[in-house]
Amino acid sequence: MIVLRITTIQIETPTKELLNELKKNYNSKTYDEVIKALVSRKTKSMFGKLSKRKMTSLSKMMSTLRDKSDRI
Amino acid sequence: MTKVTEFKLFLDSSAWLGYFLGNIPETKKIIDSSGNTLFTSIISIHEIYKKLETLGKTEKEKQEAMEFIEDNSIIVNLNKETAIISAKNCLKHGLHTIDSIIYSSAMEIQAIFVTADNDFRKLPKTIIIGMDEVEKTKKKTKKEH
Repeated sequence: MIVLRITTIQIETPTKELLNELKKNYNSKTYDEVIKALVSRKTKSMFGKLSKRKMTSLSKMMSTLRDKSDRI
Repeated sequence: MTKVTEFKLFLDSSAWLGYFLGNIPETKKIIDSSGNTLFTSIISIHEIYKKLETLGKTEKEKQEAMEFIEDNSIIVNLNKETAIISAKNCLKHGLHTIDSIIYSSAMEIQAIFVTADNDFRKLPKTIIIGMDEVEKTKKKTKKEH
């Protein structure tokens, strides 16, 4: 069994009230679940949105992406 | 296709570009899945913007991409601790400076590093994506010759 470490954080009372509301909306049991849901929330997909009719090849995408030589 | 079940994923510039350009199908599941918390190095912001510029993307497209990364991942800045660990990782894993800074940033927050860059293939806690596409390109090139 994996035992996760727990910790305590300080937040302002109005923030806790907001979390309480979200806890109800998300049907979550814990604040931890609410925070995780907030952090991992995603906007509308942009997959392939910057591709044109002809797809950019991986090799073209990778070329000159990163300088692979060191300054010193 | 690589199965990704980890919660914390640190995306390299190549993973984000493969997503926006649609040439790495695996990135759709990784990035759009609500089960993953994504992280991005501040250096990748520089690399992705520069690459989109060289590919001739419009200002609007580049801004949309930048905003998407900010809205959907946590931007990780560079600090002294990471700079020192990345120097050690340069020597330990034979990485170039930028590769090592980005990889070490991922390791610092105990995330899985996701990249399409084959230079990271032997490193621990790393997922290499886009290899299916590379293989397809190789086969296609062989047929053409």
